[in-house]
Formats: sequence, structure tokens, C-alpha cells
Amino acid sequence: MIFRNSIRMTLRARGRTSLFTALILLLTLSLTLGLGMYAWASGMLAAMDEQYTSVALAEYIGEDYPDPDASDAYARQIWEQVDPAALSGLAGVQAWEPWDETLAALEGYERIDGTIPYEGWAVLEASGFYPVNTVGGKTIYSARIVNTLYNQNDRGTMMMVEAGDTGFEPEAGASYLIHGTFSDSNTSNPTLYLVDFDTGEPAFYKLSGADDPALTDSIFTQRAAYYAAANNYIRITASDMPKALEEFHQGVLTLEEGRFPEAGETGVCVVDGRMAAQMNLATGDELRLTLLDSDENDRFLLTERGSEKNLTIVGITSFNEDWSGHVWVSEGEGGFSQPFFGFRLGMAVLDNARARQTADDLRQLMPEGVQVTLYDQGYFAAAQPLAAMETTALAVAGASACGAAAVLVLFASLFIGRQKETVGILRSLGTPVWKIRLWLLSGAGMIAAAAAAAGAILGRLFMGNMIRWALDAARSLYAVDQRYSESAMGISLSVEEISAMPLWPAIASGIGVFAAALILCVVFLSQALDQSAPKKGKEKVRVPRGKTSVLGQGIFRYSPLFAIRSAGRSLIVIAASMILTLFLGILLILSGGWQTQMDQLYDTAQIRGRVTSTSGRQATNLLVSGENVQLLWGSDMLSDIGVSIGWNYWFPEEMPAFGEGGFAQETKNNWIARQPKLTAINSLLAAPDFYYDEDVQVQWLEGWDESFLSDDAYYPVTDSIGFMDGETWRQGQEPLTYPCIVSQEFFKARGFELGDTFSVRLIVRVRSFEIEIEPELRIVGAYSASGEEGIYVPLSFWTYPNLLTGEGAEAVTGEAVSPYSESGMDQYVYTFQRTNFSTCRFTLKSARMLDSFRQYLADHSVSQAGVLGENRMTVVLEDQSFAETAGGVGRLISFCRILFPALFAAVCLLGFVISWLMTGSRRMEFAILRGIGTSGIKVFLIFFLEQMITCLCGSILGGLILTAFGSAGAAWTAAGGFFLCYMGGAAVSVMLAERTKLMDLLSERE
Amino acid sequence: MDVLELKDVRYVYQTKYQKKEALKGISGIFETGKLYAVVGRSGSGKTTLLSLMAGLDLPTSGDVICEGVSTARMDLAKYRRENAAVIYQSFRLIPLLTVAENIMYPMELMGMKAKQARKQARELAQKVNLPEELLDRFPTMLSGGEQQRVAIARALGMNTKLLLADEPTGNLDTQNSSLIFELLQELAHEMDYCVIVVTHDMELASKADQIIELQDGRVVEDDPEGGNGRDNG
Repeated sequence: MIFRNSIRMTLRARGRTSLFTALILLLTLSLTLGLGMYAWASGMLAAMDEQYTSVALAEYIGEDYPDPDASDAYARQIWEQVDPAALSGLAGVQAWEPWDETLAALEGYERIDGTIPYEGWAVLEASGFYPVNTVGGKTIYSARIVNTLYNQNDRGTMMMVEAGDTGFEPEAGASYLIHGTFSDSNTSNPTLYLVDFDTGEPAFYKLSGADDPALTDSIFTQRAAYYAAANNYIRITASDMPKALEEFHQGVLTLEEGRFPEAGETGVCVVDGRMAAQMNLATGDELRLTLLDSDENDRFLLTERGSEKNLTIVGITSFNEDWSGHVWVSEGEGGFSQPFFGFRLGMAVLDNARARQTADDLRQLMPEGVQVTLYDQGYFAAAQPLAAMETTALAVAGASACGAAAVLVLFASLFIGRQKETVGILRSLGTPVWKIRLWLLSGAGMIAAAAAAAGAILGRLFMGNMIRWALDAARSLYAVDQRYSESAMGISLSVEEISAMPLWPAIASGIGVFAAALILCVVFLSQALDQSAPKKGKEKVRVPRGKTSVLGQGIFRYSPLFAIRSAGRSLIVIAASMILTLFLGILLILSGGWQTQMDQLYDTAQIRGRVTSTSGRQATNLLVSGENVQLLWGSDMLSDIGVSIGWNYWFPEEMPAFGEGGFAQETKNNWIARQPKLTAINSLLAAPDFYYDEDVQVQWLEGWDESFLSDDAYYPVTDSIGFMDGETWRQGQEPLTYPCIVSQEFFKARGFELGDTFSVRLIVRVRSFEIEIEPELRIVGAYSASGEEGIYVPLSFWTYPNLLTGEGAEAVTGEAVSPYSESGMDQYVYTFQRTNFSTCRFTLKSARMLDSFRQYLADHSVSQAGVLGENRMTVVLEDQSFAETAGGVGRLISFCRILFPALFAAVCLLGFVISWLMTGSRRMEFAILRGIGTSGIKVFLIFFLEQMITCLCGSILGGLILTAFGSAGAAWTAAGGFFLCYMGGAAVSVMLAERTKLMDLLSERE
Repeated sequence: MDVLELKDVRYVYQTKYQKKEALKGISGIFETGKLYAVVGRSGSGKTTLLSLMAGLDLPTSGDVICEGVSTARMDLAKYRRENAAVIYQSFRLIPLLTVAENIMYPMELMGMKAKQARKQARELAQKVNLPEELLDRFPTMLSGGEQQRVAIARALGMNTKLLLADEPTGNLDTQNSSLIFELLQELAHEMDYCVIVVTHDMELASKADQIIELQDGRVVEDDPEGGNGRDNG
């Protein structure tokens, strides 16, 4: 009976019951969705954290980059400077692992792909020498291969032998051991060029017979064994984080079979798929590797270390020719890397969530010349919308919980707390207290339970759609054009979205809301029981303050009176108006500040870009064509473009004697290739030595500065070269003395001073001609970078800087112009067009052009790092920090754009609610005034003006406070905006209150 | 002098669930210098009748005619302002205005300057035996009888010939009730007001010049040839 009557009574209060059922349902729904979204986003982020690995690669970007076997003294210095303990201890670094690699020999392995250091070299036993030709006074013999001590490829039994400078003059019928290098020639048989051993021993040895000991123990047999080992080397990489190694991290190789060695695990390895296929290896097989030591100056000058490793294959990678002959072991088998070769210093595995910051921190700790590249597999871009969604969901859940709490308090107060009449009646009928409690709780509890359950169920049903919608919205908000950006390096993983929606948010929300409702109802139950008890003492009556006034007239008399005498009510409105004005004002100020910040960012940010290798990491030693430089400049969006082109130089007296002949030339070329560079450059921006060092200090000769590099007052060095024009010899122009800058170290080592002149020799190529020149240089500046011997001369040393902009280029379009043409300009243009620059770096005119420039590059099919376009020039824009800052500020501005209309609407609604509450309790006053004969419009104006006065006080107060903090514009915009919105709401509420039926109200008995 | 005439006044309350005819053809003429008492049981229609006479609403049919013009053809706010002053059982004073300001309000509404209205308010307070020291107080600080006197003074300030009172003594004790009723009698007889009082207190009603008894929305006719109700003299 109690239940039945209680539920009936509740249901019959249809308006109230419907309203609160709807409110509780909606808030439970919103709480479920908020918690559901939070749980889903958190789950996704956790799953992503498992799947993604953020790796920072530290690489020395030297002249030989990216040669993994380069021997560079400066790289070794850097290797020594890197402090693994400091790097490992950096916040956000999970682990730092120095590069650990060595070479080894594996019996039976024959390298057919990848780097073969002594390709073409052979040690052979040959006989049947017969002179067939003489070229340049050197005799060429035909010969028969009797025995192969070492030869990389099977070249048949007949060959041609060129003696060169070795003095080889074979006796007829004699057999010889010979040492040399094969070259492909147009003849049907391959040609072996004899080359003396680097120890000085001759390249040939006449055999005394089949049992000549030289066949078993001589420099020939030793060198044959050495070539066999060096050319068939196995590269071993030791790492406890194999998945973070670039080849696996970037998907170049995948583990096709088995597993990686565990951290520190010994006796096991992973081999590359190519080698496994070639040697028919499978997991479980044993490998016996002989470790090899490299000469400090030559990686492939190998000697056996005397230690062997017996390893069981536990994994096999995918097939990739570039990784042929590779074995991976754990650090338990490692500790090889002495001396240091190549460019890879090490790698750090970073916390995904803070990888960018950590990579920046790592850069700070690295010595000059080290590049830190972050590969986050697209984590940042993928996680950002999810993190935003997670935060928003939490805010939604929090707001819903607060809203639910407020509604439930009201609900409990109305359905229980204010049921004193019912309680009184039940009491008067002698109903026991527990039955009264049950009566009240059963009705309210039923509503709360039904609404909470419906909200939770609906939330569970719509959660999938809601999450999809929220994710799409978050992704669109965080969508950033990453084309050509340095932040989009490497592969991006795609994580599978969690399809199963969590159930717990619905259960927690439903039970939580119901439990909270029940608890509040119990709390209000005692209030209802207390209130229904007879009252004792006096009732308080509110008395306004003031005396009879005769000031003012009409509405201007009564509105201020009402406003002043409603002290408490008016203060609420004033306080609310002030707080909301301050709130709006602060938001406006913040928004304005963000906009200003954004404008300043765009005005001051300097966006640079560089041409790189296709990986995006190598920015020096490139081949950037003149046309491509002009293409970049042709965008009309660059403020400057710096290019460089360099030649190895040497001081003539320092070059060793190389003799003559083909191999001597090769040896000389190799020597030249190892010499430092003289670089023609138009801006230090593009100087290879300073690429990773923004703060280069140059000590200048008085009257000189960097502008000389782009000065076109000098003509190219090639103009000084005389040439044949048809049958006429044309004298070149008077050789110039080119100003140059050198390193201070170079400066001191050679005893130079600023203003001194000196000459170096270098080889320039004009069309197909290689010409050795010896320009005179004058030192006008000395730069501070250490360990460098680079010399920088103006770009006009080689080509006119204004040709970068494409001026005069039309003259040669589609036409091959001879470099020996009479037309000087044509020659320069041609030279420029045919010039490949080794670096190219540029600065955008304005950060505002960033997106247009991306589009320009895309329109011209320029390649991105890792994404080849029709134009193979790869461009990387250094926009990461700008994009992050601009993106963050931009999102705040976007939020404001979305937020402000909603906020003003909310203020309007708030104005309505506050006015409604203020005027709602004064309906009788409205009625009395109208009953006396005040016209409707006058009553409206009296109350509207009263609201206006109080609201204006608050708004002005808020405006003044904001103005005091120095933002008058935003202050009065906020005050005005709030005032208008509030008054809009107030007008509606006063009009609604005025609609009361006079007769009903005035004749109401109290 | 005739102030108000009712011609076959009917009023229907209509809600979603019911339709109730509160007045079923009331006719009558009301003159100045007389005190009328409208009596009847709860629900008989007496408050509805008074509300129509006060211009708070228009009859569903029939006419309430004031000085020859039907209220249907008048601006009701203007009618209430200029023709009908009402005194309510719950006084209906504006809590945020002082006693003087409550009395002054209708006068100012008619265009009188505040200072002059205050002077007039003092005289009216005197007329209804309201001590002057109460004029600067707020209604909630006064007793029921005092509040009713303020309400009467306010009604008098409206300067109308028609004074309507809805249970004016309903919230007062016996002594105050008699005093207020005497005051109303005085207003009718000495100041030539047409005072119409709705009451269920038959003792007080017996002091009226004419009693109109309503039953189920109709006037109970003692004297079929008489006018509205019965003379009490």
C-alpha cells in the first residue's frame, strides 16, 4: 500500500516527475558518455604506447655521412664526448644505447650484395702470357688463369693483363702469381691491371714450379685470404633494443621468423633473410663467426681478432639486398665498437608522450655536428587528438557529475525535503515514521532508478557513435598539414582502434547516480520530518532599509528604489554580473592575447628549409641541380636561398708523388677525395660545416662581412681559363684573388693572419674536362668552428649568385650551349644549369607563406622525406617548433571561436535564469502594480530598468577591474556583451512574469 | 448617483478538465454614498464578481458599465487607475516601498509630483487614523490593521468614486475589523464613495446599506421586485 500510493503520488505530479526524470536521465547519459569516452581514449593511448616506439637517433653529420664505414677523427672525438650516463639519466629517456658494431668472417659466406670493399681485386696464378697490344708504351698481355687464389667473381680462364708501372715483363712459358684489379673493358676477356702491394712488394712473382712455397705462404696467399675475409665480411650489430634499430623501427626489415634475442641474452642471434636463403640457414642452426679487427684508418683493412662466436640462430629477417650479410645479437654478445667507424653514435628509446621534448633535450646535450632525428612512428600526431579527447571527456564527466549532484540535491529537496504537508498528513493519521520514510523514498527512488538506468543504457548504446564523432572532431581540430615537415620523418604506424566499448562507465554511472540520489533523499528525509514538526519561536521577516523618497519620477523613481531596497537580491545580480563580466573579459583578453601571440609568431618566426637526401637526414654532399634551386626561388616565397658547391683542395707542396698510370691516378684521386674542401657559397646559412651550428662566430678583416659571399663583383674562376674557340685560342681573363674565410684553427696551424693571401690547388670540372687550377685566395675572416679546414669563397668563384634567381636562364632553354662559346653570359648560365650544389638551404619570406609553400612544392612534385615525387629533390621544412607553437595557439583561438558564441548564449540564458529567479518571487508585486492601474509596459519598464541598473553596476565594476589591469578594449567589450546578453534574458523573464493572470493572483487568499 | 451598472454579467472559468460558470447573469446598479456588502458561501462567485467590477478581467458575457461606458470598451489598466480602487484581504502592499510611498504611488501614477503626493499621503493617513510616524516604515513592520489602513489610504489616494474591498477584515481581529468597517461606512456615507465590500462575515455585512447575497453565481432574490439584493435599512 505504501509503495503503491507513493508511486502513484509521484507519477501524478507529472510535470515535476517528467522534468526530473529527464534531467537525471540526461545527466546519467552524459556522465556515461564522458566516462566511456575517457576510458576508451585512455585505453587507446595505452595501446598506442605499447605499439609505438619513439626513437631518437644521434648521428654525426660529417663529410662522409652517411658512410657507415667512414674513418673520421672528428667523429671519434665526438664519440668520446658523448656521455652515455648523462643521456640515460635524461627525463623521458627510457634507455640510451651507444652504437655497437663490428665485422666478422663466416666460413662459406660469399657476399654478393651490399658493400664489397675490395671488389675487383684478385690474386691469381697465371701462365701463357702473350703480348697483344701496346697502349701509351705499356704492353698488354693475354694470359690463362691456372689457379685462383682469390677472385670475387668467376671470370673464366682467359684474361688480359695490363702491367702498368709494375715493370712486369713475363717470360714466355713461365707461370706467375699476380696481384691486381679487374676492370670491365670492351674486350671479350676481362682486363687485370697489375698493382703492386701497398707494402711495396711487386705485383707479380715467378713460380718455380707446382710446389713453390709462394703458392702456400706468401704475400699473395695472405692477401688472397684477406680479400676473401674482407669482401665476405659479416656485419654484427649488438643491441638490447633491436626493435628500435632503424632498420626494424622504420620497417626496412621485419622479423619473418623466430624472435629477437632478449636483452643481455648470449649465444643467440638473428640473421638477415638474404644470407639465410643464400646459406640455407634456419632457426636453430649454429653460426661460427670469427671477429675481425679493422685498421684505424681503413675499416676493411681487417685482421682476425682471435675470438670466435658460436651463435644459435633464433630469428630470420625479411629479404633485403642492402642488409645482406648482417647478424644481430644482444649487448650480452656486444662491446665491439673500437675504434669508431661511421656516423651512428647511438640511439635513445624515449617515452612516447614526451618524445619531442626529450629529443630537444638530447640535442642540447650533443656536441656540435651531431644531428638528433626523432622517429616516433607518427605517435605524436595520432596521440594528440586522443589526449585532447581524454581531457575533454574527463571535463564532460566532471561537469556531468557536478550537474547531476546539483540536480539530485534539487530533486531530493523537492521530492523529499519539501513534502512536509504529506508528512504532516501521514503523521496526523498516525503513520509510523518508518512507513513515512518508505512512502517518501519509494517514489523518489523509483524515479531516480528508472532515470539512471535509462541514462546508463542509452549511454552504452550511443557510446560507439559518440566516440566516433568526438574522435573525428578532435582529429579535425588537430589536423596539421605535415607535408615536407621535419616533424613527419619516417614511417607512421596505424593503430587499430579498440572496437569494444567499455561497459563499466554505464554501470558506474547508473549505480553512482542512483546511489547519490538515494543518499541525498535520505539526507532530506530528516529535513522533511523536522519541518513537519510544530514550530517554536518567532518567524523572521525581512525588512528593507531606507526612508520615504521623493526623488525622480515615473519608472526612474521606482526602479532605482526597488534596486536599492532589494539589497540582497541586487547584490547577487551585481556580483554575478561582475564575475561573469570578468570571466568573459579574461577570456577575451586571453583570446586577444592568443591572437596577438599568433600574429607575433607569424611576424617573427623564421621558417627555414633545406634540401636533403631522400631519407630527410642528409643535408650535405648532395646533388642539387641549378634548375631545382631556381624552382625553389621561383616560388617567390623565399627571402634568401643559400647554396654551396665544394672541391677538395690541397697545398701543392703537400701532395705526395703518385707516379703515373691508371692506378696511380686512382690513388691520387682517392688522396684528393680525402682532402678538405674549398666551398663556393653565397651565405653561411648553407655552409656544410655550420649546418648544425647556428651560432658561428666569424672574426672579420676590417671592412669585410658575410655579404662578400653573395657579391657578384667577382667573375668565375673558369673565366680565367684560356680555351680554344674553334681554331682560335682565347686567353682567359686576368686571374682574380678571391676573398675567403677559413677556420681559426687552420689559420693558426698554418701561421696565417687576416689579410694574408695564399694559393691552393683544386680540380674543377667544366663539361667533360677536369682542369686543375690554383686560385689565389685572401683571408678576410676566420670562423670559430673547431676541427675544420674548410675554406669558403664567394659563390661567384663558380657562378654568378644572381643566376640563382633564374636571371638569364632563358638564353639556354632547350639548347646545349658550349662552355667555350664566345658569349660569356651563356657560359655562366650553362655552367649554372649544369651545376649541382652540395647543399641548399633557404628561408621563407614569412611564416604566413608556409602552407602556400608546401602547396607550391607539392604542385611541382618535389619529394618529401621518404615519399618520392617526380622531382627527386627532397625538401624538409624546419617548422616543427613553429608548427607546435602555432598549432597550440591556433587551437586555443579555435576553441575561443567556438566558445564565445556559446558563452554569450550561456550568459543570455544565465541572465534569463537570474532575472527569472529575481522576478519570479516578485510576481505579486507585478500584480499589485498592475492592479492599481499601472500599464503593462510601465510595469515591464520598472522591473527591466531595475535589472538593468543592477546588471550595469556589476558590468561596470567588472569592466573597471579589467581596465585597471590594462585591457580597456576587452573589458568594455565583455561588459557590453554581458550586459546585452543579460538584458536579453531579463527582458524575456520579466515579460513571462508579467503574463500572470491578475485576477487569480490578486484574489489569492494567504 | 449611479457609478457602476452590471448587465447580465456571466463569467466562465475554463480549464482543460472542467468548465465552471462562476457568475450566471448578475445585474445591478451601484450608487455613490452607499456601502454594499456582497455575501455568500465559498464558491458562490462573490470574489469573481468583485474582480470584474475592479477591472481585473472582462466578463465572459454581459457588461460592467462604469459611468455609462462598458469596461469591454475601455483600457482596463486605465479603468483600474481612474475608476476602481480595490482593498484586498491580504492588503497587497508593495513590500519595497514605505507606507508613504505605497500611498503616494497611485497619485504619482496619475501624474502628481512626488512632493505633493507625499503631502496628500499624510492627509490620507490622518484620514484613516494612521499615525504619522508609521509613514516612513515598511509594510512588513506594521500590524495587520495598520496595513489595511495603508491599503485604504492608497485606495483613497486613487481618487475614484468606486471603492471595492475583498474581505477587508479577513485577516484582522474583531476590534480592528469593526474599526475598518466603520471607516468604510464613513467613506460611503460622509465622503460619498460607492463602497462595495465582499465578506462572509454576516455581522459586518448587516451594517451595510445593502446586502447582495450570491448563491451558485446568482443573486438570491428576497424581493423579486427589488433591485440588486436587499436593502438593509
